[in-house]
Amino acid sequence: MDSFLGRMRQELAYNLTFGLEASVRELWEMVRRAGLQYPPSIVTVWEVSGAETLFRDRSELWKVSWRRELKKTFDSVLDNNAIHCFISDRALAVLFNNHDWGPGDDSSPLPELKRRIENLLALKFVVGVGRVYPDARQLGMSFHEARQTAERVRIVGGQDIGFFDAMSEGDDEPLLETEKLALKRAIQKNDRRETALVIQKIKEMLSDRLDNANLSGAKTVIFELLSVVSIASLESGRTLEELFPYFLEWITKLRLAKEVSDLHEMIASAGEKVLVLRNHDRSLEARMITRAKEFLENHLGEDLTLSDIAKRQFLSPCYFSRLFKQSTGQTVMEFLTALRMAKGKELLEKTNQPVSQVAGTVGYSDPNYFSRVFKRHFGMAPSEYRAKY
Amino acid sequence: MRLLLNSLDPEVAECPEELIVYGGTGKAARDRESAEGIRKELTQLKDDETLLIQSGKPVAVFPSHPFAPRVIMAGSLLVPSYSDYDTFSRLERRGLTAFGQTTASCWAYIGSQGVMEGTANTYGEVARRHFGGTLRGRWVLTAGLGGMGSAQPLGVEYNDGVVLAVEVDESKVDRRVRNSLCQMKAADLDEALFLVREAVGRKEARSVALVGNAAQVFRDLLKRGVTPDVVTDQTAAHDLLNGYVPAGISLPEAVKLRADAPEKYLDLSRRGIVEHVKAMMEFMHRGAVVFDYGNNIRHQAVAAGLPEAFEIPGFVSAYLRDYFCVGRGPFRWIALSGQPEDIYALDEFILAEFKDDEEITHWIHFAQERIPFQGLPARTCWLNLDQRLRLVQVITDLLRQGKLAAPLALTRDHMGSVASPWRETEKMPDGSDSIADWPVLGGLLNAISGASLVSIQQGGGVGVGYSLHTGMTVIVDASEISAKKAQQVTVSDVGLGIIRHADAGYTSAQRMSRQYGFHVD
Repeated sequence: MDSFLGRMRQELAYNLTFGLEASVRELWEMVRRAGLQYPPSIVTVWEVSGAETLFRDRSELWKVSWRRELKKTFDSVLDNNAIHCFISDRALAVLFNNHDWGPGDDSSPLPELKRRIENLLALKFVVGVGRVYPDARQLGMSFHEARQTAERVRIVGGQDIGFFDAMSEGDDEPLLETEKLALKRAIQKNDRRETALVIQKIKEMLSDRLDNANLSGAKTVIFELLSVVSIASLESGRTLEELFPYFLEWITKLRLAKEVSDLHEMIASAGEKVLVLRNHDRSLEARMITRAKEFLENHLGEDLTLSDIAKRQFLSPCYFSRLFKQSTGQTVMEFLTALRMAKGKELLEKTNQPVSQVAGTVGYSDPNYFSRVFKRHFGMAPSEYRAKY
Repeated sequence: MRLLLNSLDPEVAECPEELIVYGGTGKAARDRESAEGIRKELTQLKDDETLLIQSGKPVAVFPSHPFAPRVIMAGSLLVPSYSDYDTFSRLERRGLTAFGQTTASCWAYIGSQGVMEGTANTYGEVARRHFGGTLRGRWVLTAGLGGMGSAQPLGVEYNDGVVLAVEVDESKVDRRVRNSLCQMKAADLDEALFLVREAVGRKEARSVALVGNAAQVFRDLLKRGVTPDVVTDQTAAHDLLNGYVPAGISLPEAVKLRADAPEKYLDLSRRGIVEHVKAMMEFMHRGAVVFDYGNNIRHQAVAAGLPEAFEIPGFVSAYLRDYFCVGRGPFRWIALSGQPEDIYALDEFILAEFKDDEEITHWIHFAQERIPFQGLPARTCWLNLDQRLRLVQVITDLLRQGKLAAPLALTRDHMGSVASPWRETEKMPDGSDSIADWPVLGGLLNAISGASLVSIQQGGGVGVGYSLHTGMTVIVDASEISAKKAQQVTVSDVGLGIIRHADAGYTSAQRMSRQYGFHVD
């Protein structure tokens, strides 16, 4: 493959994997420049197993040469319609078009490709496969699914090619969407009774399924349950640092479990953990609000939206907004405006900055709008205020 | 045959395994056996033969001549006195007929893009007439993200507005988001309203989908005192049994009840639709712009005991009629090569040739950027007769120069060749709303003018008994006869729409009719 084509293919792979291409037509032109017949529709993530050992005490030069070798091998094995790019030192995203595959997961070329690549490189890989997205602009989603699946495969073990579809939909669905949502909401609402009821229901639902599942399938079920608990806990104010010991304990137990019966105990303890997590510390919310206030104070000059602020707290805008109002009696935007006005007043008193500059410093690109808000707050225009004080 | 297969492509069809293309139960063929029969006959069909299809089933091949259509169809038709939903359903269950919706049975469906520009134009007219020409800072509440309804999010975004689309089937919501037809899915009504208000406040275009029952969500919004700027609905209200889901029951419960107790289900649907339309009317009384978006919801409500439902205007008479009077309507071309380059080459021509027409250039740029192809690459664009003729000429020239990879299919929605008193022909000035001669004349005229496929159907959009309409497709290749057919059928197809409106008394249509020499002294 000539270097121009190689660069085009790599650029396309990056753009699609990280969702950088927005125009349908431009995307098609990139596809053609990369020498493809049609755009990819599915992302797979290939992670080298045991990379920690492999990379230990290696020089940067060795790593560069190793990556070159990896790339060369993938180039030689993949067919002309598949493209790839590195997503980290030790993992690649490989993008395919599923039209090139037959129907069903069994017909994918992945097992054979994996076998050949592993033989050539004398390495083992875990592979996560995202869902098919006919609109290639959405392949960023497929990438996230593939990465999540690869991680799950790495933790849970068993098979070494995991399909997101198989892990989240259909008969093999680890947890039903409705129950997941119910559990998440119960945790977020801090409703102990409801949380206990949902957990009990999930335990009953899973009991038969676990008994009938193989070890790998059962581990996936538990992994899914723990993921829901973890995400809900994060969204309701706990920090990663606080949750980390629990994650570690769960993952270790999952790895060590040798029989399905070992996992029954984990469901029960996960239920208890949920309740403990929520009952643990009401001041978590207060801490989260404090963090949010600090963030607003430090960034009041920026063009902030509620979504931006909520994202910093790992919360949905809606939940964050409700929580903020409950805790402070003000909406986030009222609080931010009050902060900006106080800062604006201070700058008017202590500096000679023109009003337009003060407005900009406190996050208002339109000085007239700043003046109107200022007048509403303090009963006089900024210039009057400065003259008076 | 490529068009038949395209309409059943999983990227295009709502439920290809049941041959359902879109619009509730709109099918491409009556059953598997018929589909296979059609495929087989089309493979063998000669240039001087015509295949007859009766409600999705191939029934005969007759000797004809090269200028005759290769396929003629009649679909879902019943004798007028028997033309009602119950009779149709009974016959459909016996395998004697099939519902072809509008562009499903005549294989002209191309996915959401097909109605996208029409939707964008509808919202554009709403903006022009009520909001100073833009929906910036305004929000639209609607429902239904099926084949037709899924054009709404982009249609509103095209006009810089914000839309909240309620859909009862979560899998449809997910599909629209995955296909970039809608920006985001809200977890619940609170989050949906937050996302809507944020975008309205920032005057940004945004589309939000919410999984829920439309009637229920509409009522919840009324209780909260929330009034959108615009309210409409594109749920499958035309089909109270297999399409509409009444409030109070979930989708799985609906599926079960439809099979177990259809009469009970219909009763629930009728009562549900009354409440649904009452909510829409309440929004109207509170100041929202409310209109019926062609799913016959008003008529269903009237039939269920809410006569005042007709206070809500229909979208064609309120917003689109002026386009049809001057022969401008939804025209589409499909690249049988499967190569997007063919469509882009024609886009380039249109952008250069019609550069002064801002509606056209804005649309083409928007489509190129935002609308992915589903199945065979295709483009839809509202063009008038002169523009269509020019495009036909260019397609022929480019084919002859080898600049297009393969022939193209020219087709259109049925909006110009239709009798539909609750939609396209509502409120005609001479009262001819329910006169159904026009689409039949249109079908006959297209057949003698060189169309490759002609279909005469009923029930599209508004349900059985409420419309009669004609489909037309002409294949353009590099040959002389093909060019002649395409030119002639384009004139006859657009011309019929113009004279129908001229005959009803529209002066703009009368002017066009005189200009093209269609009128009879």
